Amino acid sequence: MFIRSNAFGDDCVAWFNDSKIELGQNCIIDCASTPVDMSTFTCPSQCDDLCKSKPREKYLFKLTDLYPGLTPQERALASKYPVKMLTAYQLSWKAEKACMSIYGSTETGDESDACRHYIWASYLVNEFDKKMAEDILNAHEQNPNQPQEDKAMDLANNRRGTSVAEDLKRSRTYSDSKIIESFKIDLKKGNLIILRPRSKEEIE
Amino acid sequence: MKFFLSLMILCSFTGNLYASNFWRGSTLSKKEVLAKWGKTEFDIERFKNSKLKPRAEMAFSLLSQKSKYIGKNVTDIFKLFGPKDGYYFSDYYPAYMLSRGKTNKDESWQLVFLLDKNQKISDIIVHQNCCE
Repeated sequence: MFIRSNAFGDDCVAWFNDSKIELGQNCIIDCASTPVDMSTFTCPSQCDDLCKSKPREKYLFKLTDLYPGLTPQERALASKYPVKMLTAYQLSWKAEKACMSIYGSTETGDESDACRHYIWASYLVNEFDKKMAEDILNAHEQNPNQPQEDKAMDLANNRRGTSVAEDLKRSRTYSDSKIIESFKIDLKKGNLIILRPRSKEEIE
Repeated sequence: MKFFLSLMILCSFTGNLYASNFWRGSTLSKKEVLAKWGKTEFDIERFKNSKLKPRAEMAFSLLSQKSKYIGKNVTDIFKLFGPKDGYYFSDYYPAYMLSRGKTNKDESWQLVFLLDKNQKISDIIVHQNCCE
């Protein structure tokens, strides 16, 4: 089904039509996940209109526009699953706090970054199922301004956290303290990606 | 019913984000930045190629000329200042560490470029990136 250009920019209509996304239940998420280039980078913010979303979804999508720290994919998920996304957001704070208690500050590319992703991924797997956790984690990594190597680091550490949490959940031994312990072991064994390690004195 | 519940949740979510204490955490005023780190002339190349203390010493000078950066696109800031090493709420915000405590009881500070909904710089703050 194709959309005619009228209220939207021609580039965005062409971008949407070329992506061959079907209107319907998953349209807004598929639309927000479609790759963009320099001429179409604003198009994901029009996904609610392009998808002809229902008023509820449309309104929630617009409301998330107030928060500039969300990727278009996170906004799409929030409009579809507002309660789950709020929980996910609260868990990100809990993960940040847990990692700050280890490192003192929360930074980018270092051990505190790896910790934040590993622990948040684990919390999400414990709270939801693996699929929902991965959807949220992947949506979070769709920031076009993030350097590729930083993104690769985040995704690798997410995967490790997800996998460890799944094992603990399966064996019914999951606990927040076990996750922190597993993170420290994985870090020591070199199982995590750290682009810019802190100096030894800073960690000890 | 479900819709209104979702709406209330999202409103409280965004409301929380915009409540200054929750959203910003602790910040330093320009006067406090001056008292803490002094006043070294801001040099963008030097800022880009240094860490912590030299950056902190240029923070006051940078805050004094923040109007030069307000309204710029976030991608321009990354081009000018280089990749971020701090972290503020999400990977979108350019954040640069100025000082780092050794434990979560020590103070850590970072320079943060706040964004509006169009990904343009709305303000520059010195934000506390820590502590208990």
